[in-house]
Amino acid sequence: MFVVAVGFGVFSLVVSPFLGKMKPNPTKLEPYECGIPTVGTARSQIFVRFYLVALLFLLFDMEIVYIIVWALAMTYKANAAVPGFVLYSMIVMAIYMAILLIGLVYEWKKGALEWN
Amino acid sequence: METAAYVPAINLHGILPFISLLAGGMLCLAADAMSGKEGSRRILPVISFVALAAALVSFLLPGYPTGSFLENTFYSDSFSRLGCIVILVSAIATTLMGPRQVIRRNLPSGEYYTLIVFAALGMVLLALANEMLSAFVALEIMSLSLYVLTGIDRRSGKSAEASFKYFILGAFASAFFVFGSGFLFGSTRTTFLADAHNYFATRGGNMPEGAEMWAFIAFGLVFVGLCFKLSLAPFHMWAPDVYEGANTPTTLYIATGSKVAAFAFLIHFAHAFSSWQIFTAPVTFIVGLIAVASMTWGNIAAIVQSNLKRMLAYSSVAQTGYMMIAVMVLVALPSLQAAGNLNATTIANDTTLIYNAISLYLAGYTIISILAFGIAFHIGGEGSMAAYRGLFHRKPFAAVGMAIAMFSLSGLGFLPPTIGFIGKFYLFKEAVRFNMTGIAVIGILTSVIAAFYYLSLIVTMFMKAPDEENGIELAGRREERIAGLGGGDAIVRVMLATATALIFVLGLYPGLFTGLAAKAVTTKPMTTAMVKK
Repeated sequence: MFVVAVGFGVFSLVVSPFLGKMKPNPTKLEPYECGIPTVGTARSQIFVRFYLVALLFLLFDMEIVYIIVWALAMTYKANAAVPGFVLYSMIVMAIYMAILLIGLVYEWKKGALEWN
Repeated sequence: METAAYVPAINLHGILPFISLLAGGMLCLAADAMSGKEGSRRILPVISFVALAAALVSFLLPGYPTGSFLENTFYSDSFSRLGCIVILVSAIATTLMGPRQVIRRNLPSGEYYTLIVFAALGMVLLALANEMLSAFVALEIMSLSLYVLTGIDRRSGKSAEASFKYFILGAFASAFFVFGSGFLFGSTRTTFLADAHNYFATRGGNMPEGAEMWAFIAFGLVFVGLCFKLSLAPFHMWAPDVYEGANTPTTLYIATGSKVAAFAFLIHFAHAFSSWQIFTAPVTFIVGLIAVASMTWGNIAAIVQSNLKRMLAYSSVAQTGYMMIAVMVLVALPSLQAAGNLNATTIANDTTLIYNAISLYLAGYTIISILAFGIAFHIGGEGSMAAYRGLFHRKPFAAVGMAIAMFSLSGLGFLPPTIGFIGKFYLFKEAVRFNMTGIAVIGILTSVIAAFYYLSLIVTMFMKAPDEENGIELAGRREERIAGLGGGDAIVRVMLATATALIFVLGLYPGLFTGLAAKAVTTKPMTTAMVKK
C-alpha cells in the first residue's frame, strides 16, 4: 500500500514532464495566469514594527488559550473536590503569569511597545 | 467519561536544576531591562554564572532522583546525569568567556547571557527527557536560543549567514523530529518512551499490520533529526559554516552542550526501541554506517580546511562519529544477549560500562573543546590560520595549551595518558569486547588520518616563523585595550589552566568522573513498575 502510494506520487511527478507537450509563452509563464497582471515585485518592504506587534499578539494570544482551558478545568466540580487541586492550579498559573509578566516588562523596557 | 484531575507528585530535587535555570534566565531578562548598558554588562555574567552553578550543584548533590520523575516525562540515569553535568560545565565556560566577547564585538549583553542560560535549560531538559513532546519542547528551547546566539553579532555578515543557515536547516531537522514522534504515537499509541519500551517488549512480535513499518519510520525520522543536531555525516553540512560564523564562545557551546544533550536523548530514545527483536539488526547496521561515514569524512575533510574553527567543526563531526560506535554497541546489546554471546555478565552491568565509556568520552571531548576553543578565543582572529603561525614565539603558553588540546583530540597523547586517549581507548575496548572489531579498526585508522591535521597545526604553531610586522591586529584587540582588557582576563586564563589540568587528571584517573554518578545511581532498565498505571 505504502509503496504503491509513494510510487504513484513519484511516478506522476517524474514522468509527466517527459510525456506532456510543452509550449511555453509569456502569458503561461506568469505567476498567476488569471486575474489582473502583477504590479511591482512581491518583495516589498514592510515596516519592522508590524513584526513586533505580530510577535506580541502571538504571545498574548497563546496566553489566552492556556488560561481559558485552565479556568474551565477549575469549574468542574469533580476537579474542585480533589484535595489540594485548586491550590496547586493557582500556584502553577501564578508561575506561568510571572514568566509572562517578566517578558512583558522586558519588552516594555526595551521599547518594543513604542511606535515612532 | 470525564475523569477527575489529580495533584501530581513533584520531586522538588528533580526539578531544582530546571527551576534555577529558569529563574536565572528570567532574572537576567529583568536585570537587563532595569539596568543600563554598562550595568547589565557587569551584573548579568554574575547572575547567569550563579544560576548555572546552582543547577550544576543540584545535579551533584547525592539525593538527585534516579528513574522517572515529573509524571514520567523525565528519566534520570547515570548517563543523562553525567551528561547534564557536562552540559552545565560547557555553559559555565561559555559564560566565563562572555564579558570579553561582549566587549570585543559590542554585543547586547542582556540577550547574550539570557540565551546562554535558556539554552542550558533546554539542553538539560532534553538530556533528561523521556517523552517525545517534552523532548521536542526542550529541543526547541535549546535550538532557538542557539540560532539567536549564533547571529547575535548583527554587524558581521558571516555571523548572520551562519545563523540563517543554522535556522533554516535546524527548523527542517526539528520537523523531522516531530514527524517521527507522530509516527511513534501512531504505531505504539504513546509518546512516553517507557511505555513504548514496554509495548515493544510485550507486543513487538505481533504488532498490527503496518505498525512495524511505522515504528521503523518513527525511529528513522527522529534519528535523522538528532543526527542533524549531532552534526553526523551526512547531516553535517551546516557545521563548518556555523562554527566559523558564530562567535567563538557560542561555537564552543554548540559543539559541546547541544551535542551532549542530543546524544543523551538519543540514548534514551534508542533504549525505548531496544526491547524490539527485529529492530536490532538493521539499526545496528545503519548506526554503524553513520559512524563510519562521520569518522572518515569528518577527518578527511578537516585536512583541507584553512580556518581553525572550520577544522574543529569537521573534527567534531569525526569525534561524534566515534561516539556512535558506542551507540551501535548499545543497540546491538539485547540481541547479543539473546544469542548467548555474553558470558557471565548481566546486561545491566554491560549497559553501565558502555554508559561510562560514552560519558567519559563526552566529558573528555567537552574539556578538550573548552581548551581548544578557549585558546582560539583568547588569541582572537576568528580562527584564521595567520594568527597561529609561529604562535609559540609570541604566546608560548597558548601554543603549548593548543598543542595539548590537539594531541588529546587526536588520541595520540598517551604518555602521560590524556582524557582524549582514555576516552577513545574505552570506546574501542567496548566495541572489541562485543565482537565489533571491524568498526574499532576503522576508528583507529581514521584516528591516524586525523593525526595529520592535528599535528600540522602544531607544526604551524611551533616551527613556522611568525608573520612579520604587518601586525596581526586581531579582531577585537583594540576594543579590549580601550576597555582595559589588553592582556586578556584572569578568569579565562584560570579556566584554560583548569581545563588543561583536567585533561591530564581525568586521563590518569577516569574513575573520578564516572564515579560522580555511580554513588547514587545504578542503571536500571526501565520496567513496568516505573510506567504510569
